Amino acid sequence: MKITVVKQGFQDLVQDLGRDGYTHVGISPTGAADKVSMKIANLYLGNQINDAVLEITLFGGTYLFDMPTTICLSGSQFPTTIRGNEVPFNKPITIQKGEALSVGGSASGARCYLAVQNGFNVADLLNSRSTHLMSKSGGFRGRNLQKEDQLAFNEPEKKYFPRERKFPIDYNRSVIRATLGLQHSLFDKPTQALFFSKEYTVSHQSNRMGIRITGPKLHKRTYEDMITEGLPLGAVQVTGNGDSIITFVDHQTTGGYPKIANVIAADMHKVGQLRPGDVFTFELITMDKAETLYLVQEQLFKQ
Amino acid sequence: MDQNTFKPPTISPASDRSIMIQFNAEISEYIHQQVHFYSTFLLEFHEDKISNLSPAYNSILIRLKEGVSLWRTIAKLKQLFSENQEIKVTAKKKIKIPVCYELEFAPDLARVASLTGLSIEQIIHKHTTGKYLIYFLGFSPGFPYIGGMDSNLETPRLESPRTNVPAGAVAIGGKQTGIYPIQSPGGWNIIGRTPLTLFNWSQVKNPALSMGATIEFTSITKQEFLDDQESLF
Repeated sequence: MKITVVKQGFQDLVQDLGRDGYTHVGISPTGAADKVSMKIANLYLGNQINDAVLEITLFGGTYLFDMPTTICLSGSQFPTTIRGNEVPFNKPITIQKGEALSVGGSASGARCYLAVQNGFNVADLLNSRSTHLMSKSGGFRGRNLQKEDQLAFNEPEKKYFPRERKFPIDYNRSVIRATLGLQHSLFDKPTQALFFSKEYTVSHQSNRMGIRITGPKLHKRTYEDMITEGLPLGAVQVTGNGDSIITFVDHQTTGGYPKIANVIAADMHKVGQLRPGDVFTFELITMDKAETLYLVQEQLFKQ
Repeated sequence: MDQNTFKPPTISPASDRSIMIQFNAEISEYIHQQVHFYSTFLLEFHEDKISNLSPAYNSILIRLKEGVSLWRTIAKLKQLFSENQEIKVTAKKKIKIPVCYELEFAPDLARVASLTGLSIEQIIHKHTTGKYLIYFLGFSPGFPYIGGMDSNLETPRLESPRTNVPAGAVAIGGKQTGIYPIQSPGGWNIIGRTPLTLFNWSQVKNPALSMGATIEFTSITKQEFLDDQESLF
């Protein structure tokens, strides 16, 4: 059971919830860029929440199925068809042997997720099937899918799909909420105020390691380098020339740039949907509020 | 810093899902031993709460598992550090690393020379006579943060990081020196390259370059570099 790539997408990657447990040897967890959408795609199929999915970025490809199965797409809306018929998102869809799924270019955010019943089938690497691009490992041969690649999926089974569930997720990526970062006090109050009020634009140089954003340049009070330390997911690092980078899923595990802010866990899926040219502002919230929002979001995905 | 002046670390949220344990703001063997001991301890005994742990020079970043409370975990950690733990120091592994400092492998050696005021020969001499300790692994798979560099070699990081640094590159970033085990982006000054293979997925649980090991750099020629391409595994 497999899909064959008939037409290659921009960056199709096999991902799951990530490879936790190895940042102390320098291995970042990676995993889906928008874990919320990835979970939703799996839940609509009655899959395990961590089953491997295909992450499709900016524009997708055409994938030929050699066996019938059930699929589900979630995340940003990409125009998607089977035999010329539009495929709805967030709904289990049956696809027949010999049919091809065509995914076009996104009209909204950066990513959508293709889940198949019981998940895609690639080898485990340290308990995860996520692609680790930096080391060209994990997932499907450590890289994005290319034309003529064949990606196996697991055998579907006869089953009832879960009753249609609603997931009230905020995908508005024009406001991204953040808490103060560990080194916010290295920046004076007016600089912090600048950061939390001005618009930022997502740069074309962004990738899964970091979302580079352009906006006001931020300057520290002193020129002294800080001591390198662990990097939290979503940390907004300020480089030596005053540019900001949002630490993302494939990030380096430690870094020496000061962190002015940190995107809250409950908004990380929005970061996964940011695309070059997007304009947004950061909204400062408290750590307590951030944790509450995280717990509320987690509750939505209880199986 | 020694036993008598040691202060318990500060423990604070780094994000709504992570906690930073920060020891004294210094790079020293004494602090390293604390970080090493507590990292090992936390990984072993608090696996149920921690999804990832990143030790560094003077800090430990903890990422919480799904559903684990931020503030309750902070309270528990504060209690743990208030109880006097006896730090156990394990024997150090010793590793020899051959490095070719020829210009072809050292695009930033001239920059380091002009910023430090040292000649290239002096830089190589100082870099190969240092006593080095791997403080922790971080940044990219298997990347060792190595302390003990001669302070005269201190050179600021590049203003903008390179997108591709080759595997085996040996570099200086601020007060620190390091080796890139796999090709990756990086913002440090590259001063040489080792022919050894330093990262292997099958050895992740027992990496060749490990936290707490000591390192010796030796200078080799380009011919020796080409003859010497082997793995540490």
